[in-house]
Amino acid sequence: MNGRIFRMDIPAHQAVQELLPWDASEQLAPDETQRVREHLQTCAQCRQDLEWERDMRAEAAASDALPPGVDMESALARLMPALGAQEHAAPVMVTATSATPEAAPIAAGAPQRVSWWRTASANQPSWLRWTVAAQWVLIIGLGALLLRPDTDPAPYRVLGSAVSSGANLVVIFQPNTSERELRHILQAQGARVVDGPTVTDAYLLHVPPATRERALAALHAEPAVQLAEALDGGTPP
Amino acid sequence: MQQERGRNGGPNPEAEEVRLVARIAAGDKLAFEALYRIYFPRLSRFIGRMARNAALIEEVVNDTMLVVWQKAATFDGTCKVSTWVFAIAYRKTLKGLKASDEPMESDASLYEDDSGNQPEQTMNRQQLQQTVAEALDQLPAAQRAVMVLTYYHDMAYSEIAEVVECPLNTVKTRMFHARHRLKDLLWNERESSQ
Repeated sequence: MNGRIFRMDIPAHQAVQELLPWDASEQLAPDETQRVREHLQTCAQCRQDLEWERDMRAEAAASDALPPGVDMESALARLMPALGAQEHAAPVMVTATSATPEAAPIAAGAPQRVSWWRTASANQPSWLRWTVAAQWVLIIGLGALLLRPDTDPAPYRVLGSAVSSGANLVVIFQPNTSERELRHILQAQGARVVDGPTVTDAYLLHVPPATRERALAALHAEPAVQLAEALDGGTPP
Repeated sequence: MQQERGRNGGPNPEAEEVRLVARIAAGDKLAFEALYRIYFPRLSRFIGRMARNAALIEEVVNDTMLVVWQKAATFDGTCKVSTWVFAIAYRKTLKGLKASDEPMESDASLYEDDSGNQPEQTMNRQQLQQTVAEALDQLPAAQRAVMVLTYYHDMAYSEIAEVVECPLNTVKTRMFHARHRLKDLLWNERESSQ
């Protein structure tokens, strides 16, 4: 209209056209925003279309209602009892001394920990192998007991007696800790496994009471140890 | 923690959601319930743009969240929690629609008689929303998903590409065609209502 002949850059116009919805929602990268701004200065069509995009966003923001007939509480009530096993066993994130979920030490590094876990649990994590090995030892041991002639009756023992009598430390190892590493750590402290792994993957240890504090400090210093706490009065976690 | 939260709730919703997913991975059902309450409104609105049956919408939301529960440990933080959850929801929605008898592509004639628009009425906001919703319903499912995620869920095209598992340019092209189609449909609706 001002007498100048404006030649539209068709590829640039098309590229900006495709970006307009996300320019309206301010979701573009800085260089894309810059490109759109420059083009808008010379293109009335795109300015008009950008206004249309903003109107559409306003419409969408105004229609915030749930679809008719949908009820969150009843849907949630149906789902909660159906929550079954998770694909991978839970990473060790619950403290042994407190099993409440709120006490789980979720730190800022949580995504990295999950990311590591994804890698570790992709095939056969070491804890799984050892758990399976321990199960087999138990099965074979119990089978042998059943087959053995019942000559002298075994003394009756309460299952928890070993735990309550001997354990004075609880420790959780990093899930990728190898058996060899675990064994060396325990041997260095003169520690003996009394029980575990528990449902929270914790091990209950016995160390000589005189060296318990030193052992605790040494365990805290071990990178492979995720948690180490003293058990007062032999209370299991 | 368990109260429902909107799009902008909380000082850093993304960090909070990442923490919830990490707790879910540890088997924490309270964290799961909290995430469910955050996502139910968003997912049901998204799925509700693809399916109309309330029972099917709830079922797809629950199927989605069940996968979140089962696979929380596989969430690696390389994308937003919302991108991850919506990607699951999108796949479950397509699967749910295929399994049900609901048509993937809407039939425009279903709405011709119940729009409530009278010629003498001016189009108020509610009617306009209804018209937009109906026009959206007439788009192919792939275009509709991209448009709904853009307008109703504030997603960048890179996030949408992850949700619907297609290249970035495909998202932009789908959106471009969807906008043109929607403009035509809205134009026709407005013409017919005047």
